[in-house]
Amino acid sequence: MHRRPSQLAAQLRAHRRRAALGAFVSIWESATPAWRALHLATDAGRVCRPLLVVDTERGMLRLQRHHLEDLQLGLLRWEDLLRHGIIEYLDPNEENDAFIALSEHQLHAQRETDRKEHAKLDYTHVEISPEGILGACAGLIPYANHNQSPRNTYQCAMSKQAVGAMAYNQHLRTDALLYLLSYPQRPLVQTHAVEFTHFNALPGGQNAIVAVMSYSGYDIEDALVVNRASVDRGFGRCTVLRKYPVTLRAYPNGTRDTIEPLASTKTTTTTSTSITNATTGMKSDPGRQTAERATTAPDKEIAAERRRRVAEQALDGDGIAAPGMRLDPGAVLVNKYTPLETLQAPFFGLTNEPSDGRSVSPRDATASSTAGWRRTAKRPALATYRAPGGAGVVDQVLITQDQNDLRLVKVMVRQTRRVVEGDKYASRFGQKGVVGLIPTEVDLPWHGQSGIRPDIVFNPHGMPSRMTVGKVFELIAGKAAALDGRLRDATAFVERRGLDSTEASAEALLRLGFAYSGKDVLYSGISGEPLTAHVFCGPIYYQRLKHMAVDKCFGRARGPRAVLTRQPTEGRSRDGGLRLGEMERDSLLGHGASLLVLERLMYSSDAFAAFACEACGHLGTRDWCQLCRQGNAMQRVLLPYACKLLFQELQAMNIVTKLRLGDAG
Amino acid sequence: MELASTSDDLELATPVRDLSSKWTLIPLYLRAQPLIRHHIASFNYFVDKEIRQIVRWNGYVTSEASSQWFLKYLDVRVGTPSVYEHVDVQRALTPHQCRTSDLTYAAPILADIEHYRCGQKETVSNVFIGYLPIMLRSSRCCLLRAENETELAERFRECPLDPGGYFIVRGAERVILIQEQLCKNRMLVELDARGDLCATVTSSTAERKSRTAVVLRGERLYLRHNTLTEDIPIVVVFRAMGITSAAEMVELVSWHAPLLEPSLEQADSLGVRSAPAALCYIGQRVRALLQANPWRRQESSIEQRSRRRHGIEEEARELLKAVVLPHVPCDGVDFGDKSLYIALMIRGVLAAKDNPECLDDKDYYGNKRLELAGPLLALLFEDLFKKFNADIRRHADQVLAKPSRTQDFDVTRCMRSETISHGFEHALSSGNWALKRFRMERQGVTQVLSRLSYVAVIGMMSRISSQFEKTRKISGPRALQPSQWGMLCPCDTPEGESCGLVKNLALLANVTTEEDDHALRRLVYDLGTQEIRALIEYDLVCWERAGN
Repeated sequence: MHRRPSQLAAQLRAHRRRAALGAFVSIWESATPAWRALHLATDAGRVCRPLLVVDTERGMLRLQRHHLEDLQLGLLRWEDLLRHGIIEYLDPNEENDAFIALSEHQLHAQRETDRKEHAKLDYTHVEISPEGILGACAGLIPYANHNQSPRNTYQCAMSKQAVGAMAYNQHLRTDALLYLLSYPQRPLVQTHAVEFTHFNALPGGQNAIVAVMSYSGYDIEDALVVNRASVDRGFGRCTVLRKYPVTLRAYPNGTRDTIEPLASTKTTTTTSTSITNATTGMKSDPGRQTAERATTAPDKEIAAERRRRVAEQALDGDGIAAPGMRLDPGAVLVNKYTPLETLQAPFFGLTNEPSDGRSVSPRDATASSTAGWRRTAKRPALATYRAPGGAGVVDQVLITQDQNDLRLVKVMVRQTRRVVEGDKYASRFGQKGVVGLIPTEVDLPWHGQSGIRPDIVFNPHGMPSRMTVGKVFELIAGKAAALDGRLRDATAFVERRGLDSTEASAEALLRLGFAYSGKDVLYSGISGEPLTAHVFCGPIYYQRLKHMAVDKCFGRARGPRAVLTRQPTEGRSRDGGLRLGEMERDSLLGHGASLLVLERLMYSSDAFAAFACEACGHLGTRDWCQLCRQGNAMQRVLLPYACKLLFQELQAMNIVTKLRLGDAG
Repeated sequence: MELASTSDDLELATPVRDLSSKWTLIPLYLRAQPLIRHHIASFNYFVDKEIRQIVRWNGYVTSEASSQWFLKYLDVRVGTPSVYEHVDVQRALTPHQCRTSDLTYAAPILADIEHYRCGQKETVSNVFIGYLPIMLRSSRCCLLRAENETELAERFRECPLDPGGYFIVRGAERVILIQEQLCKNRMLVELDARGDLCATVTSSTAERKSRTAVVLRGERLYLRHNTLTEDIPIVVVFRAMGITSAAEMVELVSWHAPLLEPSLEQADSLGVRSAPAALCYIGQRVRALLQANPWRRQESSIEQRSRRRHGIEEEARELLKAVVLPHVPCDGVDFGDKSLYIALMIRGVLAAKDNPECLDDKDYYGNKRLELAGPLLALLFEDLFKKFNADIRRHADQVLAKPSRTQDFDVTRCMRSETISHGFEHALSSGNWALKRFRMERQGVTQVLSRLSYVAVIGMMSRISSQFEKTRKISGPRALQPSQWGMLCPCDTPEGESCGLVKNLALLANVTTEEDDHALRRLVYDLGTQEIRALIEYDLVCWERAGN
C-alpha cells in the first residue's frame, strides 16, 4: 500500500532508467479503477520493445545527434543507452501508461503549440523508427506502405519459399533437400531490413529487366514470358542438392551390411547380373547363362546391358559413387549388400569376422553346404539414384558414423536446373506467376535507347486489381539505380528525401536520357517496328520459388497398380497415372465418345476377364458354375476388376447380382 | 555522388530535434541483440539458473526401505557439447559434425551429489545424469569460443551469419516454436459460458496448476474451482479462511458494500456462521478424486490417511491452502494474503457489474505470455528429473529391502541417464511435449528448421504459434490487436486456417526472461510502500466512519 502510487511508479521508472532495476521490469498502473493497483512484472515471456525516452521537462528526446555519432564510432554501446535512460523497454501494459509519438516531428509540433498555450508536455516516448513494427519478412518489402495490405501478407509467405543463398557453408552441409540459386543478386531497391537480415550477403532473387506489356497470349492469368537468352546466361538457374543416406546396419547375429567393390573386369558379367538381377546371378552357373544369352532376343540383352552400364556408371573402386560422376536414373549410389540370415548365428567364421569384403560367388555357394551358404550369403540392397528432373552429378560423399556407431554413407547429388515453362516466380509484392513461354531473344522487343531486351515480360493485367503501387515505384527506382549505380532505399513508412524519392529517381532517368515516366519506346522483335505504345520497363527484383515444374510433372504408360482394385495407382510418388474423373467422364459421354470411355475406364485401367454363367448370371470359373453345379454355359466376359470386386462384396452381404449376357456384336 | 555529399551536409546541419537517421539505432540494436536473441536468452536462463532451481526443489530422494539412505543433489551444471566415448573420455562436438553425422548436439548434465553409502555420507561431484541438447549460439555452445568470423568458418565450418537458436537432434535442425499463452497467475474479469460475470485466475506454480474463479450469479458471489462439486458462496470461503465477521469481509473488499449484502445474507441462511462450519460445508463438497500427482503418490497416501483422521474439515483447509489459488503463498493456517486476493477478485467482479468497460480483453497482448525454448525445456526437465529420481527411489527400495546384500548400495551405479537423454531427444525430435505433472500433451512444439533461404530461417525462428484450435471459427484471437503494435508483424501471417493464429515477432520486439524480484521488492518497500495488512485496522475504522 502506498499513498501516492503515481509517484512510486515514477520513482521506480527513474530507477529502471538508471539501471538500478532490470531493464525489462515493467511498471504500470492498473486500468481498472477497482483495483487501484500498481503492477510490477518481472516474469518471463512478456513481449516488449525499445522506445526513445522523452525528457518531459524540456519536451525533447534524450537521444541526441552526438549519441548517434558515438554509437556509429563504437564509443557508445546499446547497453549504455539503456543505462543513461535514453532508451527503455516497454511492454503492452506499460505502453498504456505512455504517450508515444510516431516521430520526433510530432513532438516538435506539439512543443510549438504548447509554447503558445503554456501547457504541460504530454509525449513520454518516441518510436525508434516506424519500420520497426514490421517483422523480418515484411521489412524486406520495398514500399510496403504503398501496397494493398494482403499483398504484403502474400509476399511474407512467399519470401520463405524463395530459392537463394542459404548460408556461407551451404555446400558443406548435408541437408535432405536444398535449393540454391546459382547467381543470386542483391536487390537494386533495398530496405533497411535488408541489412538486418543479411539479405545482401545471402540474397534470394535476381534483378530482372521487366517490360510491362502483353506478349504472345502465353501470359494470361499471371503467366510470365521469360527470355530464352537470359535463361542461357544463367537467369533463374538453380542447383538442387539431394541427400541419399545409407546406413550400414549391424544385426543380432553379428553380421553387418557391407559395401562391396565392383568385381574386376574379368568377372564383370556375373557380378553385374547380380546387381541387376541378383537371384539369377546366384542360381545359374556362368556357362549356361552365356548360352542362354545367345538365344534370348537381342533387344532385351541390349536393354539389360544398358541398364548395367547405367547402374555401374558412377561407382568407384570402393563401391560408392565417386564425386563428380554423372548419375542417370537407376545408377547405383552405394553398392550395399545385406546378409540373408540376420538372426541365427552362422555356421562359420562370421561372428569373429563380420565381413571379408566379398560377396559370395556362385562357385562358393556350390562348394559349401546349402545351409552354410545361406547363412553367409548376401542379398543386394543397392541404393540407386532416382530423382525428378533426371540426371544428376555426385556432389560429395561423406562416410561417417552415426549415434549408434553404425557406418553411415551420405551421397549428396547435385542437379542444375534451367528455367522451364511452369516454374514459379514472384516479385516482392505478392505477385506470383508461372513461366508461360520462353521465346528466343530475337522475338522479344528491344529497348530503343539501349538495345536491351527484357528478361521477363509481365502482363499489365496483373496490376490494376492487385494495386501493388510499390512495384511501379520499384521499377522506376530500380531503373535509376541500375543506370546511375547507386542503390535506392525503399523502406516502408520512411519519409524519403534526396535521391531515394521517386521524383528524384524519375529525374535521374530524364538526366540519363530515358523517359521521366519510365515508359520507353520498344521495338517489336518480330516486325522490327516500334511498338505503338510506350512500354514501362526496368528492373524488378524477382524471386524464384521452390515450386518447379520438374518436381511436379508426371504421367505414365505402364506402371504399378493398386492391389485391391487392380486400378493404376494415383499420385506422382507412386508412379501413378492421371485420373480421368467423373466430370471428364461426363464430358466424354456427352460427346458420345463411348469407345473412348470404354478404353479409358476399362481397357487402360482394370479390365478383367471373368467367366459368367449364361444360365444363372453368376460369376464362376472357366468351366464350372458353383450355383448351377455344371459348367457348360460359361462365357468369357470382360469387365472392370472393380466391378467384379463389387459383385463379390455384395455377395458377402447376401445380395445377389446377376449378369444377363447378350451378344457384344 | 555530388548530390549525395551535399545531402549529408544538410543532414549534419539540421538541428538536434530532427533525427532522421535515428533508424540507424535498429542495426545497432540488432547487433547488440541479434534477431534470434529471445530464444538464446531464454535457453541461457534455463541452463544457467533455472536448471539449478529445479534440481534444488526436487533434489532430495529418500527410500522407504531404509531410513538412513538418502540422495541429495548439491549442485548441477551443464557442460559443453560432447559425447562420452568411454567412461571418462569425452569428445567435443561441433554443430557441423552433428549435422553431417546425424548426431545430437548435446552436453552432459553433471550433478554434485551427497548420498549415504557404507554407513556414512559421501559426496560425489560431477555425476553424469543425462544429455541436454544445446541450443546453437547459446552460452554453452562451442561456437561462442570462436573469436572471429574467420575462425567460425574455418575451424567450425559454420556460417558466420547463421543465427543459431535451434537444436540439432540426430542430425536434424529443430526449432522450438514460440508458444503464445494466456498469462498465468493473473486475474481476468470476463463472462463465463453462462454469461455470468466472473474473475478467473489460472494459477501456476511448480507444484500444480489450477483455475479459480469468483462468479457473480444473480446478486450473489461464489467461488468456483474444479475440485469442488458446486460453487461455494463466497462468505463461506471467507469464514473458512478465518474471517468470520461480515464487517471484516466488507472491509477487505471495501468496494460498494451494498453489493455484498445479498452474498452476506445467503451465508446466514445457510447457517454457516463459524470457521469450522464453513470448512465442513466446503469439505462436503470436495470432489472425491483429488488431482493425484503421479510423482508424489507416497505423500498423497499419507495425506489421505491424515484426511481420514482429521476428517473433512482438515481436507477443506488443505484444499483452500494448496489447491485454490496456489500461487498465493499461505503460511500455516494464515489465509491473510489469500483472502485479500479473493477480495480483490470480488472487487474486479463488482466493478465490472457497474461498468462493462472493466471487463478484460483476453486478446489484449498484455495478457499474453510467450513461452520460449527455456521455459518449455524447464518444464520437460522437471518432469524427466522427477522420473529419474523416481526410478532411483524404486531401485533403492528394491535393493535396500533385501535383508542381506553382497555389495553396499551405490546410487551412482543405478542412475539411468537415458531417462533424461532420451526424454529430451524424443521430445525435440517429435515435437510432442508430454508432461505427466500437468497432464499436458502438446503436439507440434518443434519443427524442422526450413533451410530454403536465409529469410526462411529467420522467419521460422520468429514465428509464434498460438494455442487456439485452428478449426474454430472465432475471429477474436485471429484479429490484429492494437496492442500488438510494434510487437508483432502486422503483415506476416499465413493464409488459410491458421491465419492470425500463427504470428511473427516484429524486428524490434524482445521477449523477456525471468528476472529476480528480490531487489525490486526491497526497493518498493524502501520507497515507502507499506504492508497492506498492517493497515487493515485503520481502514476498518475509516470505513465505519464513512458508513455512519
